[in-house]
Amino acid sequence: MAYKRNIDRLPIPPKDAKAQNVTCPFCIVGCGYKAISWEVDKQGGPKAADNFFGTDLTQQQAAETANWFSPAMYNIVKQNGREVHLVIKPDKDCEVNSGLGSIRGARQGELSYSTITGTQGQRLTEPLVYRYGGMVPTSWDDALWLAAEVTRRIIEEQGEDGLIVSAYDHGGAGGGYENTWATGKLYFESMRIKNIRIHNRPAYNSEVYATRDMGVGELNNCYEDADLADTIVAVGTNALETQTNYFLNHWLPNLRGATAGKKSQQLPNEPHEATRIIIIDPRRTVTVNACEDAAGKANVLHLALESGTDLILFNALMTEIAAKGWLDRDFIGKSTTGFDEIARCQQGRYRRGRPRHGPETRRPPKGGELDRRAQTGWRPPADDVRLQKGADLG
Amino acid sequence: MERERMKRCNRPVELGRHQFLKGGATAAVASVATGMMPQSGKATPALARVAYPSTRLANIKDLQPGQPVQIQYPDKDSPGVIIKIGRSADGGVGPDGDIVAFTTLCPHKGFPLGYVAADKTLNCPGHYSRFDCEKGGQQIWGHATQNLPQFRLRVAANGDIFAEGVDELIYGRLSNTLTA
Repeated sequence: MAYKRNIDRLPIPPKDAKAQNVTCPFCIVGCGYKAISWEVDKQGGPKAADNFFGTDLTQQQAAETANWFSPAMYNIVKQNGREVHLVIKPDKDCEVNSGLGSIRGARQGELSYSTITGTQGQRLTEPLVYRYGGMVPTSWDDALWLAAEVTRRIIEEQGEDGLIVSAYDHGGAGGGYENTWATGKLYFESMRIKNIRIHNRPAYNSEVYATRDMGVGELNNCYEDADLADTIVAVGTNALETQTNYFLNHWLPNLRGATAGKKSQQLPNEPHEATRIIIIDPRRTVTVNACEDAAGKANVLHLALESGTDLILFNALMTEIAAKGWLDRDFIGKSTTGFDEIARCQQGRYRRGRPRHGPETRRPPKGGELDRRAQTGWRPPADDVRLQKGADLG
Repeated sequence: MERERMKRCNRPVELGRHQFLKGGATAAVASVATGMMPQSGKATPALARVAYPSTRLANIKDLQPGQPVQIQYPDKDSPGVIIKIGRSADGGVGPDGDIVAFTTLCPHKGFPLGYVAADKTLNCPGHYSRFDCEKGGQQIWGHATQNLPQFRLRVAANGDIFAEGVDELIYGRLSNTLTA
């Protein structure tokens, strides 16, 4: 039997409830939420004049309404020592998510720390040290003394090269060292540490450093690119599940044709056919299914490559692109070295084949004609390439 | 450092004392509460939960297996569906225990759900959430933060099916019944 809360109503925020803009801390997308709070003994009423929304809540609210929140968005917490009702609901005015909430962000209310309702009771409130075969609570004095002693002895015995720090990094929505700021300050500023790694990486480095070698820095896009692209290429990313509102609020409207007006306005004088997407992923993910539903199967190419063959595929793509002359020579010249050499090395290593499934390839002019065609006003279709971090390493 | 070690040694004792005090405090509060029960019963107390109407949705003989019938509950602005899904289900009524009723407002963003008889699910065309009608509206996949609100059903002797309650908050209303 499915879990049911049996909650049949929730407190209504009063007209003078406090509203604060917050950013969801779960993933890097950075969706906007409104945190609405008010004193625990106060409440609003259903009449428009009596509630925070200024809306008649005796009426059913329509789909995508900003005037509703689910039980998961609600809690009672302490704010500056006082008990308050707290609602954390998606912000309709935030351009990132436009009021959409994911299964993660839309639970921020019930996932807030509360000594009143007992939510997040497992939250760390004191340091834990591994002792006597388990994680044991201790005082900050004791924990810091231990860390300092271990650090001192390692440096004394092995020198600074012997000291390696493994730390947690990331604040909400890609905030870097934001929520372990003191750790960063200690190791980088005070101790000038030589060796440090963070939760998911061998070093404190970019997650996509190979793209830098290819001349493309990471995080160089804005979400609007996904509204405007004629073709989206998704490599190893299951965006509907992992960057939900980036997908639902930016890719999906494009794939459904809902951004056609925006395209002709912002990218005039070029043809915009139905949006296509290429998904390179061994798995048939829910993202593939959603794209087929939104854009039609004919506009989705799911390239279900065998695991471990992505580097071969990328090299083959590069070789084919080079052979066709679909190259932005200006960009390549400014951003890379040795391109001609690698193109020459790859030549002839891959047999050309037509994809057995998927859409016919859109055919830009062949044989290095891009420059000449550009002079006549033709522009290549706008592409938006999204790759899962690590994919660039093969 | 000696001071620190002492602190550590005392830790379990402190924890135990803390637990003891906590338990004692709860007991004390409980006894105070008993002593402070209101003596006056004149004012009409507000109800803690909404009062659901008993609404006839259909008769058993009207339902064909796999054929959803549109309904509204608890009022006309709250669309739902009653389905004889063809297999005994959680919350199901009728001779086969397979008649269930759910809201069709997706608890994610309120889009209208559609029934797929092949796998007995309600599906959202907006953002692809899916709910299992055999399992009390369990969300199979999606971004709603609750399982699908199910209507509690009762069957009368003549086969009439009544809805008499809802087990989750319905999308788009902060009270399942719209009263002032």
